[in-house]
Amino acid sequence: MLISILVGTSFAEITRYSVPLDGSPSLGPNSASVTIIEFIDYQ
Amino acid sequence: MKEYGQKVRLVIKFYPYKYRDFARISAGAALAAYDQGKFWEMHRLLLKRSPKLDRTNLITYAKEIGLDADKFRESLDTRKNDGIIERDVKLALSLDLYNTPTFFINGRRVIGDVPYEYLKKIVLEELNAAKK
Repeated sequence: MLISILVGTSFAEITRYSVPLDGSPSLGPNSASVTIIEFIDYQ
Repeated sequence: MKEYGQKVRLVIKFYPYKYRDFARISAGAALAAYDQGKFWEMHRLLLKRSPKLDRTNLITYAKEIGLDADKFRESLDTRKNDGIIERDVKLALSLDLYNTPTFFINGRRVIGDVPYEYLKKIVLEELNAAKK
């Protein structure tokens, strides 16, 4: 019981930002369970 | 990235640092290649050849990956896709980003040039969470 509460707490602490995709260049299916958004500077 | 096939999607946003000479034109080059259906070819080349990213270099790279050089040059010179770059920069600023690269993995922020293993760890956590 105690363990499940601790696990629940640690997940709750993860901050998730909402970042619009806006049709940016992408690789991989829209149905992917993980989306990585990378802000890049080529130089 | 390739390791996870159909389960992971990578999305690129442009955040050219304004005090670097070729940051913006390079983003423009990536988008010019995107317009010709060869974004990832150019993306990889830009990462590989950086910091050699002046206009002449970029046109050489465009030819190297088989782009229509006239269209490519026109896109650079008219700054055709500046609106997209500007939109991404505004988004970055609205998220208080001041570093590149910055990643959002299912919304979890990772700032800076972190080891590949660290990114992989978070991706795996998210993949595992999705399975539940």
